[in-house]
Amino acid sequence: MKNFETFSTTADVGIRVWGMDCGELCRNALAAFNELVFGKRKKAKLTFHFHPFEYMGDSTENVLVNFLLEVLFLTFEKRHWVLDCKINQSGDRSIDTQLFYTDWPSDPLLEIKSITYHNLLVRDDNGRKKLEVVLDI
Amino acid sequence: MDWKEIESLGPFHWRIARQVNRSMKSDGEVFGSESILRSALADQSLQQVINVASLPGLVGSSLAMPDIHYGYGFCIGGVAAFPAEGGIVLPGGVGYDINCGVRLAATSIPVAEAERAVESLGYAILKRIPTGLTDRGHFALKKKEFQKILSRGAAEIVASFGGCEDDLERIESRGSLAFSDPGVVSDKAMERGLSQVGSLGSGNHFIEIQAVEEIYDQVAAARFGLQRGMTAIMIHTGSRGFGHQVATDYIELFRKRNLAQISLADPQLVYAAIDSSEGRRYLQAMNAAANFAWANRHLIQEEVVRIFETILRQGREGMGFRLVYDQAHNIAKFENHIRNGKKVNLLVHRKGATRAFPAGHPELPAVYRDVGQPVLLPGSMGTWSYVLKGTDAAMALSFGSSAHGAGRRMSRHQAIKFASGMDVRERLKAKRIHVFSLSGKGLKEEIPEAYKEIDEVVETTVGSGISSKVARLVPLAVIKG
Repeated sequence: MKNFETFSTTADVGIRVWGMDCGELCRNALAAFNELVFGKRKKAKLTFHFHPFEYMGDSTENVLVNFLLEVLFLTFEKRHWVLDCKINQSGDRSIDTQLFYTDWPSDPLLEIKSITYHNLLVRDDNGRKKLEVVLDI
Repeated sequence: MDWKEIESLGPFHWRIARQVNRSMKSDGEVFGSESILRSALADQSLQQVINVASLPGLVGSSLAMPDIHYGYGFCIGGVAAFPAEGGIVLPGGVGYDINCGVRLAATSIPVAEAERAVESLGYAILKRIPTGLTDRGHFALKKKEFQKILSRGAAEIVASFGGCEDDLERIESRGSLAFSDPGVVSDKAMERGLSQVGSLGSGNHFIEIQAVEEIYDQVAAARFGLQRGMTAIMIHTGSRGFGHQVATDYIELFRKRNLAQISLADPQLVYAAIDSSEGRRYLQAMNAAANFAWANRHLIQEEVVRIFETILRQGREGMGFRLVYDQAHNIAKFENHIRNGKKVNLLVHRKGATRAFPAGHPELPAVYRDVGQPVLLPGSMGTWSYVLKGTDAAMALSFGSSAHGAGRRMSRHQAIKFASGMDVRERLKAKRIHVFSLSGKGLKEEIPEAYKEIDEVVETTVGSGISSKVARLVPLAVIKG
């Protein structure tokens, strides 16, 4: 069963993610984001740091966008590779997580500049939640 | 929607009547050839024209220029005007790269002389100007210096770095919009912007050394300083991470404040009243980002001038360096227009569209007031760019707007696939175009085939009357992120 895939629009790119809940959607979105930015990589045993991220939003879509915006800021401004995250708690409109990061494994393949709300809507897909997020590049 | 629902108003002008879709409060109008319209229908950008036509208070029609293509929320090439009093502002109608724009400088350097030094010039520009995904600006600015850039735009670069005072006259809005409150800009935006002043960025941003190849309008070209057989410099970039963060912050704020009131075809079209607190703050922050972008392009130009001075061993005046124009193509501006015989003040949103004001317009620089505003249309890196000028028809039909470039035809993924095994540099070198870039993948994404034919966009733009042709330029060197 697929957890994520990437797609292209005429001018931009996007990620399609599946998950049982908001936390799983965020975690899979992080994996998709990393695949676009750094390519397919095996998770090596690395020394990493923690960055706490807690967000209370108005919808799952809103939580996911803000989660990805935090990852984007850490990736491109702080130059961290956010490898993974541990979800402490998540609801339909909230998330409490620890982001694990280390140095960039390589220069990025792609610069993502923002996360959009374009046509963003949680849909049901065979019992799992599905979201398509268009990324501004 | 269906092709049958599109009504022809002329060979290059089409209407989607408001009856086509229940949500529409106004008509949609698109300038383009039939093939441009058919491709806009296929890529869903006409649906985006409809979505904008469904917004409250739209004045006239939801418009799209001949380089229309699919964006998020608002199509690229979209123009929408709202009343300055009682109207709305939408960050999605400006785009993330606030004041992404194009600048053209003319020189009196003969093309043959530039061609002899083209390798040295290209490499020196690539080495000196930060480009691509990882290179940051060379200028370690303090927060106060950065705030001066946000307040004064290009004028701050002329004052603190160098350049010609005269150039400021030839920048849209003199390269500066009113901004007085740093409190409307987030710390994240400040942090992203501080390290990026004077950098080009990646994607479709570029610096080109060009040759003026053809003149169509001798009077306007002479006034713009363009001479056949001479060299010119074109720069395409915007407000970098700063503008993106401003847009991101305000889309988020608008959502939160207006959640209960707004039901939209696309959540990216979130808006606020112009006279609301958040609307006013967005416009201030947008102006700051616009000032950043004008300062950024001005600084890059000045770096290029210095490189030319060093390599060609001539002074700025000897080389005849002179800014032709600098224009925004992602911005919202308060403008006066005539509607039903009355003067009205509107907030005109242009996303991937440029101003194209005609001769006589009071906002034009005095030096261009009798010929009209230069409209810069860059093509792909393997084809021509054009200089057009604004017309009276543009004021009547498109709120004084025109196209902004070729417009993408292929996604980046499709372009890479198409260019698989292709040596993009060698291919362009065969056309005497030298390409300088640190990213092979970036070059493949930007192959000429990924863009619409600029000639079709230009012929359509001119055919619809919203601009007229002045000159054609061909790239000698392309420097890309």
